[in-house]
Formats: sequence, structure tokens, C-alpha cells
Amino acid sequence: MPGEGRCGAPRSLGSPTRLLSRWLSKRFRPDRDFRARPRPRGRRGPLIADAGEDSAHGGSQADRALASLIDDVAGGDRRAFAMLYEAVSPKLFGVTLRICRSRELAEDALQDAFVHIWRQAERFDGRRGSAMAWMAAIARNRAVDVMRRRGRAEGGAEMGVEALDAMVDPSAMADGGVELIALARCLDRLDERGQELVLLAYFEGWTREELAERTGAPVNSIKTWLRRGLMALKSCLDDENGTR
Amino acid sequence: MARADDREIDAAERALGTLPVPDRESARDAALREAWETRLAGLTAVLPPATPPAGLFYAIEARIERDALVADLDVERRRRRRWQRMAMGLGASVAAALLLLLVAPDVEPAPRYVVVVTADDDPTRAGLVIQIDPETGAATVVPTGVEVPPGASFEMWHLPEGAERPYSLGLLPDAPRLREIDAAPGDIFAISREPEGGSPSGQPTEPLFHGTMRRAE
Repeated sequence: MPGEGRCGAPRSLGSPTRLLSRWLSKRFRPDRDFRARPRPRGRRGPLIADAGEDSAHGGSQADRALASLIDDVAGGDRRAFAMLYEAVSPKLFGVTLRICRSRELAEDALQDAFVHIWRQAERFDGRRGSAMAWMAAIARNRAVDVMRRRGRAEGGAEMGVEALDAMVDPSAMADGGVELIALARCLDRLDERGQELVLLAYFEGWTREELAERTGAPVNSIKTWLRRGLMALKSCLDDENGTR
Repeated sequence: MARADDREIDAAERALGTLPVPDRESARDAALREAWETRLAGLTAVLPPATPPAGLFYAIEARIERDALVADLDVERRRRRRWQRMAMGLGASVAAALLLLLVAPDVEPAPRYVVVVTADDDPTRAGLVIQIDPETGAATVVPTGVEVPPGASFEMWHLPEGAERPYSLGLLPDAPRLREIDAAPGDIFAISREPEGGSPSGQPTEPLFHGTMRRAE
């Protein structure tokens, strides 16, 4: 995939929040025709501005504490489970709320997520990723499941910029950490189409077919763009990891 | 794209949800997918936290509790054939019922023994929750929305483990206030629909709900 998603010269670092926040608060127009849109490279300025604040492995100590709680939960420790809930339920509720956009569904998804965490705790492996990422992935997947099972909340897909803005708090990610910087940088390097497809699939839980329907592009094109985007993301993340 | 790449990107799409996860996913594919799930989870970092409603944790605990109960009860049910006609399955309402136990302010939070009586034809419907203090035999019965149709009565029954026949505990809703019950884990409690005034035969006419007593912890 020449010219796409490769990691070029390192840009300056900063809070990865900006990229994602910007995307989340940008109004999405489902009827826009992706095919017609050229992508002038470098048109957008660096999404990530100032350096330094994320250079520390943000939250890694806290994450080790979470990982150790998960270990205890795997052993059937109810108290550890309660502590884990105490520690991460606001974060996970933020995730299910954003995806479900209805408190009722988000609460169901959060329940599902914690029941899943309880049952699957023994499968958590700290060598393969952070505890927070593991739990956030569970919450996101449960939320998408709940949405698919129970239908999308009223007023869901067309939620406007104000509502999205209200849900996004740029200060929420001050300690994003190295992995997050890499993710934000690599996402930034995708073309805008790839970026949007990945983000829409992730946050809206849309399948290829739904993406095609909402964007007006043929399913085959969606498939090609998605896979190209994911491929580019992977190779960029590999590069990032290799250089740090 | 090379095969390995295809496999990798299939995993990415499954993590993203744009492709369904196959029912029989190989361990290697699952590992690839999970790696992507973790990778993509970084996207959630921008989302602001939100305070979940108070009490949600109890609902979660109740569900975990229920899973354990249902697993136990399944074993129990296979063992006990006598009540087979009634034994259609226990299910989701046990969660609601247990939740009720956990949050009802006038209810002992950690009963020694508990019975969740659920509808035979709809295991998601709980009839009663009974907790019993084995020391005193005092039973607390919490009805969870059993509605007696006009012209009929609901009667409550107790079938001690090993007993031949159930004996009546009286009619709902008068019966289950507080009574001395000599019960042990494994005993079955049931509710039947009867002609107004109670069973004419002294045995359940139309069994509707049942549940097995379990140790609560």
C-alpha cells in the first residue's frame, strides 16, 4: 500500500486526545461520498501538537494495580472484584454510554461487561496489554452487542455535534501513555476515509454492510478501504513499537 | 495480500466488528483478534468517565450469584426426578429475586438459606423469594409479583427432600408472612393454582412455580 499509512519522520508529540476528540466532535454526514474526496497529504496540520506530557508511561503503576486486582478476581476474590468495580466502573460506563447513547442500554452493557470480567479474569494476560485496555475492550464489545441485540437507541446515529461535544472531555486522557500516542499517530497517518471507517466501526458498532448503507459506498469498496486502513494501521503500529 | 496478512486483517475486522467472529474460531485467530481488541481499546481513552447508578454493582453480583445457583440447580434437577413435571427450568428471574434480597431494606442481607421460586412456564418470572433461618426455622417470604387471578387461589407447598408428597403451607398471600418451617437444602417449594379457597384434594392441582432451597453462601 504505497503512500498510505506509512510512518514518516516522527512528528512532534502531544496529547493524543486532540485527534480523537476532534474526530468525535466532528459532525458526521452519512450521505457524504467518500469516493469523490481527494486526500491532499499534509493538508491537515499535525493533530498532535506539543511535546512531553505523555512521555511517561502514563498510568502504568495504576495499571499494575488493576492487573493485580484482576488476578485476585480470577481466584474468586469478591472483595477484589468490588475494588475493581470501584476503580474502573466510571471509565467503563463512559465507554458503554458513548456507544449505546442510552443510559438504560449502557447500564445493561456495563453489567454484561463486569460479569464477563468476572468470568474471564483468569484469561487476562498482562504481557499482552494493559489491564485497562483489556477491560475497555470488553466494555466496548458488550456495548456493541447490546446495541445489536436490542436495537439502537432512539435518536442514535444522527446525534449532532453538540451532543458529541458534550461527551468528549479532552482533559480525560492526560495520562494516555505510550501505546495511545502510537495509536493516535498511526490513526493520524491513515487517509481520512480509512480513519473514519475505523472510528465509525469502532464507536458506532457498524458492520461493513451498515457502513456501506450509511456512507452510500458499495460494500466491496468499504471492505477494501477498511482492510487497507487496518493494514496500514498495523504496519505503522509495528514501526512505532519497533522504534521505542 | 499474503495469506498471513489476510489472517491478520480478518482478525482486525473481527475485533472491530465489521466481520462476525466465527463460531469455531481457532485459538490462533482468537489470539490475533484479542490483540487487536486491546490495540483498538486505546480509542476509548478519550471518553470521559461517567458515574454508574448506585446499586448497579449489586445487580452484577446478583447475576454472578445466579449463575452459580443455576449451575447448582441444574445438577440438582437432574438428580430429582419426582418433581419432573414441574421442573421446566430456572432462569433469569433468579437475578431479580436475588437483587431484591440484596437491596430490600427490611430483608436480612445474608440469609443462611434461600429459595427462589420461579414460574415453570417462564423461568424469567420469579414468584417468591424465601429465606430461612435454620436456627429458628423462621421464614421470610418476599412475594415478587405473583398475581392471583379472580376466582382462584394460589397455594404454597413444601416438599422436603425425600418426602413422598408436598404439604400445604397455606394460601398466598396470607400464608407467607412468617412461619416456622423445618426445611433443609434440597427441599422444594412450589406454588400451585387452585380453586378459590385452596386445594380440594390436599395436593397441588396445577403447579405453577417451584424452586429448590439452597445455602445462600
